[in-house]
Amino acid sequence: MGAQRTSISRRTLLRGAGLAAAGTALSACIPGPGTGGGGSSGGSQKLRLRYWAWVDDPTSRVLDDLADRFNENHPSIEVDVELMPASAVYERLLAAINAGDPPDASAIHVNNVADIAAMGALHPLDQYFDAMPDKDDFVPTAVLGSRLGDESAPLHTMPWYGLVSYLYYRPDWFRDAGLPEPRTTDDFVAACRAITDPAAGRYGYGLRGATHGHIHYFMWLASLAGLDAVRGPGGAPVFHQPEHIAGTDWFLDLARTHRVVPPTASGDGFEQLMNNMKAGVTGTAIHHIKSSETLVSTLGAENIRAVPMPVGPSGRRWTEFGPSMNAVYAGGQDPDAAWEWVSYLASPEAMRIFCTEDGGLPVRQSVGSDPYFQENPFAKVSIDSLPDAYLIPFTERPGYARLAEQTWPQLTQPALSGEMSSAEFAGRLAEDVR
Amino acid sequence: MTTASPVAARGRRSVFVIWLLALPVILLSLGPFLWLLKTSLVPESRIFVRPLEYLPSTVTLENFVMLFERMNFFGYFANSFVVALGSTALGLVISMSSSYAFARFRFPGRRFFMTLFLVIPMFPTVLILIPIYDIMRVTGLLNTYASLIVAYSSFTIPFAVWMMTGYFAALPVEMEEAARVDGCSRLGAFVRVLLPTAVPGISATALYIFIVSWNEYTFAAMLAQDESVRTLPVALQFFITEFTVNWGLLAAGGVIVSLPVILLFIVLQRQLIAGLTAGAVK
Amino acid sequence: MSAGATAGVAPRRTGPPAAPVRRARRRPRDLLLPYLLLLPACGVVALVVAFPIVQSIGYSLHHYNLREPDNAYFSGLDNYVRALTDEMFWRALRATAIWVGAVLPIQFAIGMAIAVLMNRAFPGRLVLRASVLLPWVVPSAVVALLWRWLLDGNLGVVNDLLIRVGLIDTGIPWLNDPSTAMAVVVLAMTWHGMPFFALMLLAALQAVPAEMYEAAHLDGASGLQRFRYITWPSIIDTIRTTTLLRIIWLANSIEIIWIMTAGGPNFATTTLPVVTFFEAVRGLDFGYASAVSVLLALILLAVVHLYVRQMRKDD
Repeated sequence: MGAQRTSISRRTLLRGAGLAAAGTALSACIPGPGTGGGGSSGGSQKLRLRYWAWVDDPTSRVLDDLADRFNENHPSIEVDVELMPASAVYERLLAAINAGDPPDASAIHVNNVADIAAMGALHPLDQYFDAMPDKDDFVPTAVLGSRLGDESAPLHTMPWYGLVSYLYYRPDWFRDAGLPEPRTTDDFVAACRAITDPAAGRYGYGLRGATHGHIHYFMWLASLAGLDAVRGPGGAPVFHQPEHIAGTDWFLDLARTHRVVPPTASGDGFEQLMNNMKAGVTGTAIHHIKSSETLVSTLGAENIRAVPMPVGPSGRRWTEFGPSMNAVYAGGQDPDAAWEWVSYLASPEAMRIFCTEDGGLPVRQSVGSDPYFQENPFAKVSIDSLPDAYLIPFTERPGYARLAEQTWPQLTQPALSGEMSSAEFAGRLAEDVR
Repeated sequence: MTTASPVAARGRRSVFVIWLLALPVILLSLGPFLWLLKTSLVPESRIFVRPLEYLPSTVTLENFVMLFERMNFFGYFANSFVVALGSTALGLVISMSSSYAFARFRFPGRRFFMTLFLVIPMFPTVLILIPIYDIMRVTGLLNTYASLIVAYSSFTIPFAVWMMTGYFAALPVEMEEAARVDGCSRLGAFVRVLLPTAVPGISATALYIFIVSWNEYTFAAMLAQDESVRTLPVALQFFITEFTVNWGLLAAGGVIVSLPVILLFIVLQRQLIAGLTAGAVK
Repeated sequence: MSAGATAGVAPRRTGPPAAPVRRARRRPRDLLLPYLLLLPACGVVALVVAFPIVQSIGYSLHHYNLREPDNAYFSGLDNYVRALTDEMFWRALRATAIWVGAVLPIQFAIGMAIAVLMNRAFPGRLVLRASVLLPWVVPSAVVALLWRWLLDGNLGVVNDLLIRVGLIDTGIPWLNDPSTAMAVVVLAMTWHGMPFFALMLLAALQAVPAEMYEAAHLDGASGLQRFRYITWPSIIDTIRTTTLLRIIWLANSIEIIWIMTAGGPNFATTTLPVVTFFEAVRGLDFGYASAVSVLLALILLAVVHLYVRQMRKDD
């Protein structure tokens, strides 16, 4: 195949002529829904819009309810919500895009946006967004997140809601040890040292060494010495360079010198982080509001508290804004109709309903000032942290997924145990996103 | 006091020895499952505690109620049964046909075909996953039971064909020949003579196809995501969310998914042993 | 002697690839019949897996990354050269060999022991039968998460029990140490897969006619002799088939490893399918991922070839 030609179009390579022929023959034989999984209208004039998403609470009906509300007001469109497990969405999207039959819209994880955009599958949303009368209501960080942190990039997706990372800590442990709330990175290290007691299986900080733990690493680096010590002009990594390696030393020293992290740190993911908090293995951990409910129900509201990320010697703090967003697909049936739906999800009404039910943070200022969000202490810390919250650097780079899901989780073990130097560790991470 | 006869004593001793060997096996098999069961029965706030609780201080059926009341687990059960039974039936029939050919005929290409079946499981699913989606979409099978039944049948063919070829080949051909001399057709001889004697092998193969289909997740998540055809393993995956694992519901789901197969197996075992004895008497 | 007597009673056993029992008659219908019988299986296989496999082989000869849809071109053996010159490939191949080489014999040995036990009539046998199947019917994802928890360094049951009986003082981070990670994923997989061998071997044992044991018993054969001369020859085909298929299946299995360790720490449990998964789903490099898979398939074909040749020699 293709030895004569140097370049082949994607379609040819993806679907050999054989398959197309076999498919046509077979679909002629097999009775069934004529258009396969397609969402084209069957008889009626209504456009059946296919929307894929995942939710954290499988018993929640919130998206179906929102679709019902939307459908009532849009006689020509019927949104068909297909919920799937979070882990299944991306692979299914890849397959559907490959097959030339993507859904009309979907929720999409920020880590996958760069790749799917590079595949040419996303329908840019700038012209729609620019025409919104209330577009200034959106939190700038969220809009920037939909541009993958690059002001000049197209609006790949529609902002939906967000999550802001902060530090959970055990006020009871801190009180017993006579420690103040951890406000600075120095406070933090001192507190971790004070509450660590390996004999009792107690550790100061739940370090996330498994996949995506690099998020916390970059948060510490940027809080310690500013974002300029992480990412240089043009977005290239600089955190591994000799003048900035002190940050990585500080981070790895939590395990190497201070020994305030559990021996399992290199393999701990968000689940272990939270389980360790619940069971009293660790006294602090970084996460966001989605863990607050389960922590409160296990530990009691009086024994778990949140503070914004500690500030570094520079007096600045830097935290993660994790944007959740919806994509409109270029290969869908009707991008205009799909926009109607994803912009409805981002409307004040739908955003309030969804965030109240699902636990995310609104990305409209008007909704964020709602008493509901101001009265929840964890939402309050999140919203208060918003001015210092940004998309994790390098998210827009093609090697980001490799850094997050391969290099980082594989190398934390040798790095935290001291077998691998700070310089080599940082260097290997930087290599992925050069 | 009368001493037991030597034979009875030996019998008792051997029962003791057998149990001595069986006990670790049972503990090993059951232990992790019991932990899963315990997790499914305690309130969420008692799942991760130190020191570990081996016997729950409070027991609740909340998780199980949730599965059936707030989620459509009855429906997922039905879907899983349809898919697993369908795959077992289709897989058995087509594999049996091939096995009979391999066991009872010598023909050019026989070895080639047998090896060919072995190549199927040699490729990682991740590479098959994306094209298979396209195939199912083009054939209109996406989000139907048929997509999973066809897929699972084909994944289990290699094992089923090789297993049953072995069983068929081991059975003496003379009985079938006798039946054919008596006027049976080839199919008649196969059904009346070969099948009954191969029951243990066939039922083991059937169980294999059933369990593989019952527990398959990756392809189900790709091909049958629609609520109306969603199977249990996909439903369970909903409890492994982006930010946490909902252990209470996941454990309850894991227990619920496993037990029916165990019951089915026990029932089938009895049938099977009865069938074997009946066959021997004839 | 018993050996001769039992050999006489034993049904004729021919391994699947060995000479078939019956020669096709000369009638043209009978010459075609075996092919017709193969047709349904071949049809389903062709529909579902043949095309993706052929396509993968095609991809492996191309530069083909989904991220660069317009930059796909024929690249000959470049992907293969890249794989064979990458240290990661060889490490992963070694890990794959260790993984298969450890899981298979342990699973088989335990499965065999269970099958022999299950084949005996004794009071309370139902308890054994019911519990033995359990590890297999729990979905793989749940098995992996459950074992990950059981082996957790802080909250794991395994550590807790070992501490209680006094074997260790503090918890061992089993999954977070390159020297123990492979051993514990092997443990989890062994647990999950042992019923497979137990049940398949049990079926084979049940097919051995009871009269043969009675005859051997009358001849005064010992338990060991009966196993050696009756049981073993009767179940050898099943053993060959199950182990052969299991080798292929294990070499490609990924779910348990991926969920428990994601191939870590420090690549200690990165097998070739993990590499493929990573390159394909995260790297979107389907050309390279396909080449790695084709190489694994070729290695497996070689293993199958040696295995089948050995089987014929034994016959």
